[in-house]
Amino acid sequence: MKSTAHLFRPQARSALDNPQLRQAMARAKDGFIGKRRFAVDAFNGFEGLRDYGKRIKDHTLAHLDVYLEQFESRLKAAGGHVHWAATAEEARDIVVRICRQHDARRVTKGKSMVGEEAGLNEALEAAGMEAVETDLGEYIIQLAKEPPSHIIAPAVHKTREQITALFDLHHHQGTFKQKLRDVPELVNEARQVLREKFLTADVGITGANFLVAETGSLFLVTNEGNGDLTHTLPRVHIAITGIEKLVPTLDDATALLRLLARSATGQAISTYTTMVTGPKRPGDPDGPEEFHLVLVDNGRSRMLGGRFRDMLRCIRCGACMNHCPVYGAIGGHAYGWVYPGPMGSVLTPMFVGLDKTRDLPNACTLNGRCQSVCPVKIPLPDLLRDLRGQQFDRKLVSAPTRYGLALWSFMAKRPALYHFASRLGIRLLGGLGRTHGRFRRLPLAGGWTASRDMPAPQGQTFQAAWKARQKGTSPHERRQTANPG
Amino acid sequence: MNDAKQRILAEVRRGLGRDTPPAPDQVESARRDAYASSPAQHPVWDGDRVERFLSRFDAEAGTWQRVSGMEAVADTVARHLAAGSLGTQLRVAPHPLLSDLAWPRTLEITIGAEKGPDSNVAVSVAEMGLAETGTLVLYSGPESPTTLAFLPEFHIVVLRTGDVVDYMEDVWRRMRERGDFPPRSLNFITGPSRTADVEQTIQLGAHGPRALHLILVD
Repeated sequence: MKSTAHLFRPQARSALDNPQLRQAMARAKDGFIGKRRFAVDAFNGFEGLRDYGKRIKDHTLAHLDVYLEQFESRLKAAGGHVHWAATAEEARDIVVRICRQHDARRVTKGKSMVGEEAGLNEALEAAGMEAVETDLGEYIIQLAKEPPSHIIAPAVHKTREQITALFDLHHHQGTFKQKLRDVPELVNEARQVLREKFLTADVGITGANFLVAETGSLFLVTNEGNGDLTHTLPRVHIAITGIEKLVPTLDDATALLRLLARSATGQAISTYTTMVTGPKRPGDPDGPEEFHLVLVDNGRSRMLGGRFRDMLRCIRCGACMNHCPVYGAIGGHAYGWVYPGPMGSVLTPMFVGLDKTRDLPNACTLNGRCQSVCPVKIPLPDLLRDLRGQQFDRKLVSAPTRYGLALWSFMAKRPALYHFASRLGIRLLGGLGRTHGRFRRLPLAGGWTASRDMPAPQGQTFQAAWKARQKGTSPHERRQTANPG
Repeated sequence: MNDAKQRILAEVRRGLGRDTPPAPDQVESARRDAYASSPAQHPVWDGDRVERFLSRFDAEAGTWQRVSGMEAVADTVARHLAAGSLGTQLRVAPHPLLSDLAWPRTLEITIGAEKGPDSNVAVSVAEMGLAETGTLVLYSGPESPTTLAFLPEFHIVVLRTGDVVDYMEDVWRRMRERGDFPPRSLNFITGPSRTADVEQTIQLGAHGPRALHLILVD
């Protein structure tokens, strides 16, 4: 998928100006947060589970070469084909080649974010094949010709009115008069349309939530059952996924499934949690004749060497974006690539390049909620701060900001000078703002004053005010200050 | 593409700061130290395993009946079809547990996998049940076609009470002893198909069965 992350600012601006988007996002947010909270509280000891999940992933990543090779040999023994793709382009070519070899005309797809990285739909269509997304949310945005705006709820930004209009256009050639249809009616109509696609597809493509080295299996979770219809009905099943999805054993996958379902949708387990190992066995009445697994690197192995290895623990639950105030305000499209929200603001610079994603690490208030809900304890704010540091070092920050920061750091390292300058500045601003108590406009602070007033300082620095307070207060008050609470 | 494999593994090893993989026993002992020797983290509950299983199954929008003995299954299924006006056609998994059932003559029985959109109702057998989550475990194979769990509008599953276990880890413990494990598809099914993709409103019957009915056999 082509990135528009360099256009983050205008994209975020137009998202904020879009009332339908804001309405949809506001509705979604409370649901996600409440459901997760309920499921986490019902699991006695979720903190222990998070810690356990983190340790599973850390161990796996530290031995990734071993588990990758073990996985490959087990899957081959079960009759599967394993393909390695160093880049998104290689992954795309492998998938198109397999589809061509089987003269595929129609390809059904389960939701795959790695498939989005590789731009599979466009490639398959360019090769003359029909690619049909079967996850309802993914199907809706395919009709709208949009990328997903959330990693587990791709059409979260669409209202029922918009979905009604899309179905009218694509299923009824615009002849339907109703402006707003019921949810059951819309879901049923998609079920009928997609049922036909499932039954006539030549190849089914899915992602994978986990890969298990012990058995050469993949785990796939859905609530709709579209993943199972996609891999069970066609002659060929292709699964495409990232190399970081590995875990050593079935018990390890179990622990991570418990984390994933609760963090993503607030469920104890997804409705359909499926373990797939290779193609149909002799005597099996159904299932594909051939099974291919495409292991995609696309920048992941480069992340193993430094502190961004932490990011490879990610199990793609979406909790970080559900709890992010910035994502909640602007939705996923503004981020400009496959992965939005906090995890996307770390991953996109890794995959697309920091120079083309300058705004992403800064589109964050460092409030830390993402880290506090991450099922595998990824220190997302620290990683974003680290990216900001890298931007400064690589001179990817605008000159005024860079000089401003350089000046600040010069001063901050010299306390006497810092205190003197801040006393002077505060006195000056305090004097100038005495009449109104606030500034409507201030040079060098246009970003602040554009949407709100800057309060005028009271004429003293914080340190000076604190000193004066300590000196002047009664012993009773001092005791209170010394023992807060 | 073997070349890509070598490139990826070389980059992985560079990131990990070594040229060759460690010995298998080293990896296994590192795994034990890291987490595998500490107890698994799973939900706990008071009371009976089967009760927990049924209450979870219920909470996930499944419906169930408990009967004593396999001989009660055929009539129970027939009554379920009649009560829900689900028709008289029934597709049945070629499972040994179901092969001797005396189906009422009013039912038209077809045995085997589903190829098209034909069947309204199918019956299959769950290998195990999971008390932790109220989940049915279906094991794909000649006796248990995967299509029966996904294509029909209504799915009926037969499970023996003795096959209900506490946790998914217990499933793996039992499965590892089987010579034919893993099957192509091991399906953990918890309630009927659903979606929340239209305005986060949960709607049953997205792509799979609209209803899931369990017959638990003591």
